[in-house]
Amino acid sequence: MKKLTFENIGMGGVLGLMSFFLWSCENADDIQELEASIDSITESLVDVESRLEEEEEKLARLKEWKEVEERYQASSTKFEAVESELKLVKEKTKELSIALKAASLDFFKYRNQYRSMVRAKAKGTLIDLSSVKGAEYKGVRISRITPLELRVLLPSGPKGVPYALLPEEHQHRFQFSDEEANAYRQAVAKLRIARAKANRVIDADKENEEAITQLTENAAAIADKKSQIASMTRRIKAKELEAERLESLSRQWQIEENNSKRRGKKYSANSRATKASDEANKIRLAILRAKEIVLQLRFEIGQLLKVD
Amino acid sequence: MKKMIIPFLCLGIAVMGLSSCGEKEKELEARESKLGEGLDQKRKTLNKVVRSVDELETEDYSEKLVEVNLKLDALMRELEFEKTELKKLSAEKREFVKRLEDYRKKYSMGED
Repeated sequence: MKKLTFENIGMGGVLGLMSFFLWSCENADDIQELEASIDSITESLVDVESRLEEEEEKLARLKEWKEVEERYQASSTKFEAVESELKLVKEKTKELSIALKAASLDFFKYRNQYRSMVRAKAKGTLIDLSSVKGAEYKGVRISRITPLELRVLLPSGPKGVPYALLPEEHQHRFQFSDEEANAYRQAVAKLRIARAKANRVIDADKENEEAITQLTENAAAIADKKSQIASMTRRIKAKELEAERLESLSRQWQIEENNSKRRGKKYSANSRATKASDEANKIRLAILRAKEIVLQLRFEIGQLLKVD
Repeated sequence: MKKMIIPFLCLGIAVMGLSSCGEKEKELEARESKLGEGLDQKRKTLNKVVRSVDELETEDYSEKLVEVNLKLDALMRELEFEKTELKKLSAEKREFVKRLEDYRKKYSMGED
């Protein structure tokens, strides 16, 4: 009985041990499942982290692009504003050029009107030309005054005294000037050529009147052309500076591009270097055209001042 | 009595093994839960970033920016130049107007 009891207890112990092992085996399955789950989660985590890293890089790049886009939008808006302001300023400049032309024409017209009036009034009056170089005329009658001379009636007949020989007082009174004399000579020469072509006969007074009208217009035209030349010369200088700046930028970007290529880096300075160079070339072409215009204007002034 | 030592010893070992298994299980569960939370958090962050990426629809304006800045710079210089020209023309016009006024004062046609 005692033996049996011991055996039974031993068997019970073995059975208990087996059930414990079974139970613990079930626990081991759970642990395996848990470990598998942890592995799967870890894999997912690695995958998610790698995607997150990619997306964050993408986001950072996009944010950078967005910032560049905002700067581009701001620059574009500013460009439009500056463009419209420039348009307004150019319109004002155009208006002012016309007003300047009118103001200069007013001045020249008034001066010639005054000259014509004072010279017409003097016609037929007596004048004392005692201080004329090389001659002395007292109480002589004025027959006509042109921008070149004062014609007087002498007992020996009519005589023209060139304005340069007149006393300063009379030069001032009748408003003689070298500028007017040259323009008058030019206007008369032109009128004579035109008359010869048209086979027209015209008296001296009419010729004088027409020449004076012509020289007024010429004086205003010369003043206008001179103003245009001054403005274009300033523009040419400004554009030359602009072209130089662009060429320098283009060179700088080209160097950057070459350096990046040498280092094996991807850098897109080449296109901007080409753009800057193209812009500079466009400006250089415009400068050439402007210089041609200046030459043409100088030639026109020369023609207006030319005395045959 | 001696025969009972072995089964009881085995029993003790099993109990110890079981208790250690239970601890490991708990530890693994805690780790799984922590990792799961971490994964959820990362997924949320990823979704947020993806949404932000989708919202930020843009392209690279670097070249365009350089181009527009180049033109803007030139245009601003031109504007400055035109403003100076305007001032010069205005001064030139004033000069002619003044010359005419002075001339009129000095050589009046009406009173002569």
